[in-house]
Amino acid sequence: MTDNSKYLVEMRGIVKRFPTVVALDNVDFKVRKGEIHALLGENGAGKTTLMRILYGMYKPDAGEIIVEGRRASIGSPGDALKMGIGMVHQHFMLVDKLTVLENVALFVEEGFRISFNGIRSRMEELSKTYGLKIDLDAKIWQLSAGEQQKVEILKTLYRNVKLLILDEPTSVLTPIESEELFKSLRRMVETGKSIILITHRLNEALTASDSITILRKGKVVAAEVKPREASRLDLVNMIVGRPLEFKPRINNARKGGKPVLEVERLRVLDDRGLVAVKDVSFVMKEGEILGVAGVAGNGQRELVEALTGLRRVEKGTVKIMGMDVTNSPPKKIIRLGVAHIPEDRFRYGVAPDLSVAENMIMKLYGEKFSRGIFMDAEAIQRETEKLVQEFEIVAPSVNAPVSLLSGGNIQKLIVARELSINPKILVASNPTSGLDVASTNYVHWIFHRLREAGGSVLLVSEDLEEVLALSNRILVMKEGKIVREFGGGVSISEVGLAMTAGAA
Amino acid sequence: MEIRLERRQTVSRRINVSSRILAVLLSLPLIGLLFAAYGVNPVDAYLRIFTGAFGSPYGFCETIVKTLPIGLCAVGLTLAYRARVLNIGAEGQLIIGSMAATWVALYSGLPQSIIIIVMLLAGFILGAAWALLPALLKSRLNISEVIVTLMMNYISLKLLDYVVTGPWRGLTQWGFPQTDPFPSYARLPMIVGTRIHYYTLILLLASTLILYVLMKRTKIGYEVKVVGGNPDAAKYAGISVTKNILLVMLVSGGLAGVAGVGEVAGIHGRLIRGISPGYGYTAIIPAWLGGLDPLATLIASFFISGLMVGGDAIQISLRLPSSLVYVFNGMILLLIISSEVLAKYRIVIKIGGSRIWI
Ligand SMILES: Nc1ncnc2c1ncn2[C@@H]1O[C@H](COP(=O)(O)OP(=O)(O)OP(=O)(O)O)[C@@H](O)[C@H]1O
Ligand SMILES: [Mg+2]
Repeated sequence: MTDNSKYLVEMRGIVKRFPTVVALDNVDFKVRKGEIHALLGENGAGKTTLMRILYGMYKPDAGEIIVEGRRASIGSPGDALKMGIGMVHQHFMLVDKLTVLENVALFVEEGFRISFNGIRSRMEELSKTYGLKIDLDAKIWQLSAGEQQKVEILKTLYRNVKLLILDEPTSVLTPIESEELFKSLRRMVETGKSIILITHRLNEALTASDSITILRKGKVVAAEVKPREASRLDLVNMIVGRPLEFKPRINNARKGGKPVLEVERLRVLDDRGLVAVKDVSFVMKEGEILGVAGVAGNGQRELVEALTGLRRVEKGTVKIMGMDVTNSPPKKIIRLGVAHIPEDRFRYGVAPDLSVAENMIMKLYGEKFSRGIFMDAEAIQRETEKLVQEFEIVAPSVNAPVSLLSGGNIQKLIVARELSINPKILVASNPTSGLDVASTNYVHWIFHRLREAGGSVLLVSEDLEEVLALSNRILVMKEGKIVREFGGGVSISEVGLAMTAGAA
Repeated sequence: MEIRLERRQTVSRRINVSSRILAVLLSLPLIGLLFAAYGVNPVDAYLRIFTGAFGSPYGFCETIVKTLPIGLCAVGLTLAYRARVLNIGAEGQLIIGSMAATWVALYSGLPQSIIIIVMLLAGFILGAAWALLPALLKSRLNISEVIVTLMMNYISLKLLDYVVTGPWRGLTQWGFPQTDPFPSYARLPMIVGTRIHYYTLILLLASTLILYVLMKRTKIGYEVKVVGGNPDAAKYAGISVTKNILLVMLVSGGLAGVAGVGEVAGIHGRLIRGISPGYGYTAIIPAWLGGLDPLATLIASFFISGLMVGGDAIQISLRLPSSLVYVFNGMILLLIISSEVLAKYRIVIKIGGSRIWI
């Protein structure tokens, strides 16, 4: 045990084959004690798969894992946790109807008796140590995504892990929440723990990590890169292997463009029956990208669902192309040329057990992909293959169930499908969440192209950089109201202030 | 040593099919133990079941006779289950269908030439109507269809008891709880020398084929699949969840109703108490055994019917209780459900450092 001891975990020569792809091809990956290690790579590069192997969820076809200098056989998450390795998944695994405390108890108690008092005091201590504040008696469904993530992290910390794996933790967080998360992670590292952080946001890797490993198509292209010695451009080159083509730039909306979406005094309730959208009015014009900024949970979701026919409108009107569509069924709104990239891709975006092709045709199955009452199998195959190619979706085959795709590739499928209907209006919630830099860039280019062709985009995003880079105008939403409107060319800090500080 | 389950990364068709066959094969030795407990040689018993069901022309025809109601219910259920609408009410829908046909046969006074067709239609429509209430409750108020359909089975049983002991009790039946026999023009014709009422047979084959094509090739089949896969996504795609829940319930209820018509107008020639020995429940087994594919389900229905006929045979020849067949059926269902786990996970056995998996 010479210089090995400075590594907490070493994965050597890891190979993982799935029926149609080699997801990992001879990967070496090392994490030191007490560091935040960023794992980067394109969608489908194999990041999640590599981490699932380390966490004992998949069995590698070849290779070995060394934990603290000793060869380890990790056959299950239980084994991994015993060795001090914990993982927080892209999709949370919590029981909705139980409280935070009960969820933790489920995860940590092995016998028949549960000592809630013991768990409570330990949890309070942990949340103080790491600055992860949470109401232990709240039910999971009442919590925001950011809060649920804290629960997941605390749950694994409770098991005394030495290594915490986080799979795209910031894709569900607001910028402020992300900052808080990184502060907590720093504290963990100071107490000697190690963190593996998967992310598509290069700035996070550059500012918050100590070391970076990059995967491309199942192979390591760069290991233990020091963030101090690398620039954003270097990272892009290593991840994608080529420079990005599109530089987003704002051009002003055509003057006198016709209004395509008119919202007047709209009132919408949330799931609990509370008023989430409070008498909101705005107009979106032909050929403009209208950004909606705001901290998550300020009524954006309810607004979007009301506009697309998924949620009842209590009061007020929605007009699309001059036609009143208040409380119209989704089908009618789709027929008017409204596409929708939903915020939660698993809730609305896909039916995971259905195939890539079946998910791809969901919006136009009744028109483009059928003849009379029959489905047109040939057209379905052809169109799906075309879109898979155009959007570079990595999938075992177009007939494979969507649940086998990587998170980013599912997002790409949704974006591809929504753009394939040639929308006049695109309502997009966090459209690039989980997408790699190249795909994000491609989607931005497509939004731009759509605008040039006279289409309009309602861009609802927590990613302020994205909103600012693309939008002609920006509305700021807070507590269910539109509190500010900005033109193009405004600074991030100005918008950020309006989001948090309140009404102008 | 340690045994545990590991999730399979892909579930192939082959695994699906073989796990189901395995489930059926596994049930044989388990039931064999039961036979042994009665002092009967299990191999002998199985041979008798097999020959009883398929070994003679009579047995074979009787197996088809039972395939008619079981198959009609089961094939309809595949459509409902694909939409993840868990209709457990085929039994009640069948009973209501048989009552509808009885009313038409005895009390409607319709001309002889059209009475059969009206009976079949009435069976379908009332069977569907009986399924409408749970469908509405599910789609409008999100009330579990499992519970409502199950409860309605009991209601229909009581209704049946009421009419055959009360208003419809036959004047010529010496007080037995049954109606007067149907006039001959209200009886379904049979294949000569058997009890196979072939109108129903044709309807079974046709509906199997239609549902098969419907699920595989049509827009309706696609919509049903999306609703079953993720109702929220269906809504988002502009597919009406309500419409599809109603559709699958009406079709499965209607086909169960037609099965009921076959029983009164084909087999018994009158409505009797206990018109169905649980066909509507039994039908759930072939629907899952056939992997919700109508063609495979038809074959599975034939197989399960054979079990029932063979079960009757050993009941007589070996003096075993007839309920043994139900134990048999229950065992198969249990094993099929467990085999779904086997299809999704594999068993890993760890001994020392080595791993064996199945
Ligand atoms: N169970 C599976 N069966 C077949 N293929 C799979 C399976 N799981 C993953 N894959 C494939 O393996 C590859 C790597 O997937 P993985 O989820 O590790 O990517 P990722 O780097 O995490 O991507 P993302 O950034 O999109 O989350 C992908 O091509 C994916 O389609
Ligand atoms: Mg991933």
